Amino acid sequence: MAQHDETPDKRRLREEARAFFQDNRPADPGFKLPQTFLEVESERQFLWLKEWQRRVHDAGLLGVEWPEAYGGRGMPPGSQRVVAEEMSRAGVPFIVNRIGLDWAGPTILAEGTEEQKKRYLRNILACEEVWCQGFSEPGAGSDLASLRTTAVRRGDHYVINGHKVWTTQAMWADWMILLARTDAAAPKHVGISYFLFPMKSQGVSVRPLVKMTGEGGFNQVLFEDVEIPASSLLGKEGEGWRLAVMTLAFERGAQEGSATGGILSDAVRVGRIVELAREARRDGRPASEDPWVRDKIAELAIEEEALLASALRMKVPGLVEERPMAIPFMGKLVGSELSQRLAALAQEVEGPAAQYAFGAERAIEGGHYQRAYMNSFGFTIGGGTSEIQRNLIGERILGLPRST
Amino acid sequence: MTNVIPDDFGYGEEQAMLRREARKVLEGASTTAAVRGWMETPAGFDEGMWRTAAEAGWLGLAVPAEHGGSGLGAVSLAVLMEEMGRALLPLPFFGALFTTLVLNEAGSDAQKAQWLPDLAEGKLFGAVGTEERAGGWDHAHVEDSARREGDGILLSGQKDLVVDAPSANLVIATFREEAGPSLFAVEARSPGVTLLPDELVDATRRSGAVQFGGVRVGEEARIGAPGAALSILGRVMPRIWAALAAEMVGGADRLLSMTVEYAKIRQQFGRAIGAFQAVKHPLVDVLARVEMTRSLVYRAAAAIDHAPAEGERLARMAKAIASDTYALAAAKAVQLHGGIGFTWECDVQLYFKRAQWSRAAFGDAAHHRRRIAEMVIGG
Ligand SMILES: Cc1cc2nc3c(=O)[nH]c(=O)nc-3n(C[C@H](O)[C@H](O)[C@H](O)COP(=O)(O)OP(=O)(O)OC[C@H]3O[C@@H](n4cnc5c(N)ncnc54)[C@H](O)[C@@H]3O)c2cc1C
Repeated sequence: MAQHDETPDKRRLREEARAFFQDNRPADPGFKLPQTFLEVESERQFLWLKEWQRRVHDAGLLGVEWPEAYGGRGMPPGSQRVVAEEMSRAGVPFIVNRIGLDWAGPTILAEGTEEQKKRYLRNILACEEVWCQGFSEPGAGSDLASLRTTAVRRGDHYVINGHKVWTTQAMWADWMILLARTDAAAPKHVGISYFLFPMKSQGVSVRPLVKMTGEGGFNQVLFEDVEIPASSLLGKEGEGWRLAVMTLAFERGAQEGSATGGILSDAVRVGRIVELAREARRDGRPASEDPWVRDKIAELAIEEEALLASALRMKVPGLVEERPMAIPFMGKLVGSELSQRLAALAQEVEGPAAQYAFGAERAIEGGHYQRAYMNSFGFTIGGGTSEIQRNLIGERILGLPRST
Repeated sequence: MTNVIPDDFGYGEEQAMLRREARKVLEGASTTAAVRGWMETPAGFDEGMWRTAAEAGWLGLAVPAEHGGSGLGAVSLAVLMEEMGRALLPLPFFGALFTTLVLNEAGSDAQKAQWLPDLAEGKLFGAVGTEERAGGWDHAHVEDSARREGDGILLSGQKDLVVDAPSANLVIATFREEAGPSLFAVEARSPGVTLLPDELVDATRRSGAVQFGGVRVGEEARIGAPGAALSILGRVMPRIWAALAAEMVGGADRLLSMTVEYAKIRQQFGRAIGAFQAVKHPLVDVLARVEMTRSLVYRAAAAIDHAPAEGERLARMAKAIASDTYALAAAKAVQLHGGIGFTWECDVQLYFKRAQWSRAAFGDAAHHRRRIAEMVIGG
């Protein structure tokens, strides 16, 4: 990525980050690391990544936009992205507590009491406490507001009963952002409340699910008469839907404030596919000489460049005045689908070798792209499917009438 | 000249003002009804509109201040082109721009002084011919020849699809000399020059084949050094690609708005068709393409102004993606307008044809991707 003309503060931050990631690249752990935070499955992976995050935070490079009082550096918007770009350039491992940093944290920062902010935010940055997100249920995915897990107030406690599913990192998590129904009689969007839920409570059981890659990472979570203090509530009772929408906006990158600042998965970038094309063979020659391969790589290189240019353009008010929120709303949709097409292309570039399973001895790069292709669906389904994103963008940005 | 692409794309109050002005003028004047009228005339454009463009400073946008223009850069040009594309403005602007850029890049002081002020004022109409039938979009393919004869030079051959040639009184074209292809400027009325007007898919444009039947010129007609045409065009073309891509973004964006408005009002099965996902989702895909394309166009323009080493790659990328985006926006617009979309009466078809012309002009997507692959992969 080209160097930009940036404020002296940001330039200094960039230099600081570049130097840190250059000098502190972690040694090879000697076991396989996951590709993204969604696939952390073993304890040794988790503990290793936790330690890495702690080091990056100790260096002052996480939560740089959050106030100093909560462990951040109080820098202007866009600063975290500078660090993210440098992380990406250095090719260092990802930050593990993503749900804490990017969805729970910003929501607590915006809506929490002073006490809640003090209690949770610093621990999120330092990876002292890991978070998961208990929104989805077996019967409530895209139609999230139809969720049925209940929270019943009893004196200064709530009692939780229900069933969550696809809960990423629930097996490591200390806390969960939990949506539960506090008023069964109210209309479905009104009766929901938002809790900061302690995972190590009596009555919580976490059951791992296996992904199609064979990896672990997400879970079912069952709640049987779990008692939590009333102070676990974030915001007011019945305000849960509004807060959930805010969290989802952070999750989909539609709002600044994330503490990691990522744009595009590093697992599949055009630069890496170019390397692959030089290695792989087609008709006995480097695949990089094949006209079809060249055309497809150029096509996706253009789209990758356009996506990066869009992340920059969205900060220039005069260049987005017609539809100010279009690019932020489209970030997840466009980024996740591009990553998926890049991973698919990489497999086509591999040729016959794309048949090997990931981890197979003869696989190119250990079957990195076979795995990346499968994992890419985590991003086109999780956090609101691409179809739901298209509905939302059509309605909010283009002003089309509601589909349902 | 710095060597970084600014984060703010070099877009400031000057560009915002240019956009407001251009939009106001064009929304009033270049309505689709007016465009339909102009495109039926032999010249294909309105003289009053040309004067308006000159007075607004648009024709002098790329002309340096010492020659009577404002010398604004590629970002300003993108702003103007985007607005022109939105309004489908038919003017021989492209030929004038191309001529200006070639003269800026390589004209002698005398040539600049002779032509640039008139270009800025709209008194001179220019056109640049770079393509021959057998060469596709490859500027290096030059069979047309410049041959010494006595103390003069004889130009022979034919250039195809020369944009705005029918209105041009100055034509610049490439001719092969011993040192390689060179650029020569020729008065369009010189003996031996013949114009064969084209019938284009886009009726709001004019172009023509220009035949040179042994046209006699002097040394002073050459622009730049002998054999320098390719390196001159190498510096000029990124500006042309970025400008055309910007025009295309404006058109694609306009098509999107037209189709969205239609999808909100057209009722079928008891509801607006825009409520159906089979209509909504393709519109969102067009939106995504338009926004991504627009970002890349402005990034390319900013690179041309501030980090020229990046200019060619980004401008080719911009032209390539704009070709696909405009075609997609046009196809979806016709389809989603239904039967009415297929009629002559529906304005969508005007943009549709502009998209067809634009994607084939100055290199289509596949052509540019081939060059981009050379830059990204090598070989
Ligand atoms: C890797 C991964 C990690 C996840 N992590 C978490 C987590 O940590 N916490 C959490 O709470 N959830 C998590 N999720 C759940 C995720 O948010 C849901 O899977 C998602 O919202 C879709 O819900 P669903 O799976 O029930 O699919 P469904 O809603 O049943 O959808 C099935 C299909 O129907 C389509 N569809 C549904 N409704 C519509 C409509 N109105 N219009 C058009 N198409 C429609 C969908 O797009 C999809 O293609 C994760 C999911 C994945 C894949």
